[in-house]
Amino acid sequence: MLTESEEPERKRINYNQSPVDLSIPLTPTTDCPTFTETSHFQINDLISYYSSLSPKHKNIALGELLKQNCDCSPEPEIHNFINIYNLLNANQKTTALIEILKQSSITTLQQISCTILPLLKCNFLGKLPTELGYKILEYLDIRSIVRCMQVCKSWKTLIDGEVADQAIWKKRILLEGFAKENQLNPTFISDFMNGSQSVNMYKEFYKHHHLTRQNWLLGRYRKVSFPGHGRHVVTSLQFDGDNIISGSDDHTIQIYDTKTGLLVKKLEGHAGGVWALQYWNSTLVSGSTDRTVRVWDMDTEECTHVFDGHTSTVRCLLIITPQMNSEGVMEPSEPLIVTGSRDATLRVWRLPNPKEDRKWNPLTGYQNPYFKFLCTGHTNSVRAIAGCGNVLVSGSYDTTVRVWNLDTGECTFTFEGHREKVYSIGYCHELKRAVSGSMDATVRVWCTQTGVNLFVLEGHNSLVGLLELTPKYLISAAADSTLRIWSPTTGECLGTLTGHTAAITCFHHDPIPNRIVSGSDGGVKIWELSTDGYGVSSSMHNLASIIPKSSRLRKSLHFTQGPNGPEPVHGRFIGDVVTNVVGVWRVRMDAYKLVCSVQVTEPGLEGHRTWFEVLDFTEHPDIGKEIKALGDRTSWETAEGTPEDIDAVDEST
Amino acid sequence: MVKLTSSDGQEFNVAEDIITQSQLIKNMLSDLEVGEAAIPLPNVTAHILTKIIEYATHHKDDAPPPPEDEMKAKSSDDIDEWDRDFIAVDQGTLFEIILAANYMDMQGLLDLGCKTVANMIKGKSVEEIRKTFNITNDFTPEEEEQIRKENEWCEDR
Repeated sequence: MLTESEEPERKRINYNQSPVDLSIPLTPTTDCPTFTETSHFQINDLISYYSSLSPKHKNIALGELLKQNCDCSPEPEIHNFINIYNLLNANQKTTALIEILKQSSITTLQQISCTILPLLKCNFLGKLPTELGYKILEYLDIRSIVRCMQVCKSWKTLIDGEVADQAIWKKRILLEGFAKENQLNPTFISDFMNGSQSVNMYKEFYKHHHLTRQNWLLGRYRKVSFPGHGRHVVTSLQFDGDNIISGSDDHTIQIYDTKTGLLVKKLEGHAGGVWALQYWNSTLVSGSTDRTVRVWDMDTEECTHVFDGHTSTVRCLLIITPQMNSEGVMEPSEPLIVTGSRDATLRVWRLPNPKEDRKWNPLTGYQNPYFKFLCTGHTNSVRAIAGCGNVLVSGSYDTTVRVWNLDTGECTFTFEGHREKVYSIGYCHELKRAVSGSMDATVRVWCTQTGVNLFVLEGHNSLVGLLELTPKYLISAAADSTLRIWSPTTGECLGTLTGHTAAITCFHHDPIPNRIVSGSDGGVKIWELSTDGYGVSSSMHNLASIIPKSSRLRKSLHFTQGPNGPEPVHGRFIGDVVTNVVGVWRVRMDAYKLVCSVQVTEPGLEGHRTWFEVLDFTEHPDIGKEIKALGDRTSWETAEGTPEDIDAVDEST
Repeated sequence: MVKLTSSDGQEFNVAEDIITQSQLIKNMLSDLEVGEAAIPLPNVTAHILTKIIEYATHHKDDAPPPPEDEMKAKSSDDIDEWDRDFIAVDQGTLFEIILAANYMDMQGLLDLGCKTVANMIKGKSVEEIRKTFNITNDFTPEEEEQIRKENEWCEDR
């Protein structure tokens, strides 16, 4: 490396002797950090040389300089010019160029601008370290990410490889709520993909769920419908991927295969209508107008336990399973059943394990070992209950709401305020809040820790019969044919869902898939909970890559103008999914399916019949297909109105 | 005052409360006996260091950023006006700023840089993205068609 003092004489070039003697090798010097008088001369020399060029040569010379492509010009003047330029160090080059540009015409500058701009462009995702590439991708909506994959090979590698599968796609699955962290292991995913292995399994999983969500938004599904419970009312409904369990006032509980719509089990034993049921693993608990609580082994169909004690109809029940509290203690200490009755009391029972625990019925003995507490205080029917941990909230026709401690059986608070019967109750353990809906058309929000009535929510104009409460949303449904979305923390009404034409008979909401389904006379409607509810930032780009173009949601506003900027919209109508029915008894949904029990008129038969409709929104080649299944009928005997393709019951088995 | 030397040998004097927005410098100051000596930044040119100091000076009174939440959705729509003007630079400079912010461990500036690149990509077609960054399509037509088909699921329907 040359030092300043050793710099050879070759840098002094006499431009008057053109062309320059190029026999001396001209190597660029770049290691000269400070400006010296010598180098300053050279800049001026270069500039005066440039001035001496013809306008055409000036343009070419500049272009060549900017491309740093010094060997291709055949013109000796330009070649010389470039060589002199290359003698300068980096700082000098910059100064010289700026000087030259200052002397250039607008036309030249415009031409140069076209040359420079592409040179300044930068292949960010190709050149940045991988982790910074991922960081950029985190800000993108899914469609933009997928388009990036198609740009060039290096971008594809960044987004499509095994490492990216974890860094991008797994994270995306969690962010959009398609699965929970503790579920997302390779076994779970590979089971989901039916055992097929792929380096992009998370991407495939994401794709499947993305398409399924779009099917919900477009109302695209496979449908299996089947009859059940004759002309009777379905009072309770719960389902999973394998079974649909329904309780009815026909005294039975029926278990159907979710995929085929065939009746697989029938639980008989209650001497009155079944008005409440819940199952946990393979243990099913039911409550009836026969005043008993029954525990069933769903695998063997056996009723293993019968609890008596209530002196009137068991109207509501809840299984409460232990969960860790903030101090690391399990609450409640063991799984419990809580039942509420028209006899104005609640009873708390230990949940038996039907496979291991000693069987029990009232004839077994006098002291039921599963009975824990009798909760008294209400003076009229207990209509609804909700709870979690050691907290149980009950709402009664006596117009009060009571909070009970499941560890001691004591009543901790009595909330008074409603002017009419309480019909519905919700409780959120995270918020320590309870909500109650009443015939007085209001919803009240209570703090279960301090006993304070936080809000009285007014807006509905008749009976609020149904409520659901999750940490961010309180949903109420009323006989005024509307549903309302409220903030349980501020009491603000976020949205009113109008469109049904009669009292809302049932609904279900889930903030993770961001949906509400509701039933009323005439059919079932699907609603979007919030434009902010897809688990990713609610930018226009994110919404555009989640909500399909052909969805009606594209035609409505994604945001409204609030005092501090755009605010999300709540409760947009997505579509009608079940129509032409008389009434809807119950609706339940999970990420993939919607199960409804409905009341229909069957051609050729008098009166109404109860049917089930299972809508499967999972992405599938058969999407759009509708199948009529047998349900609880052994065959289709009626000559008239026989469904046409009952043998096409199921393709998936 | 803290003395910094850029990769191209320029010396900068910056107030400590400004430059300690760089976790790298902050850690150096607390871990090492820096004294009067200049801290060399061999990966940052004077041009970029000037920009970084400009950014740090404007943001010196900002509250410290909350710890990064891995599971929180990220938005690139929240860039304020000053930051937007500040980061309106050519792509080469933006690239260098991102690298320098990463090297000097300046979360706010790194986020700003990454958001800006993301905003240059968002909503564009594949060809528009290539044009934006002057990227040559190095797929064969067959490869390109196959990749397009594999990724059709994400296009609007």
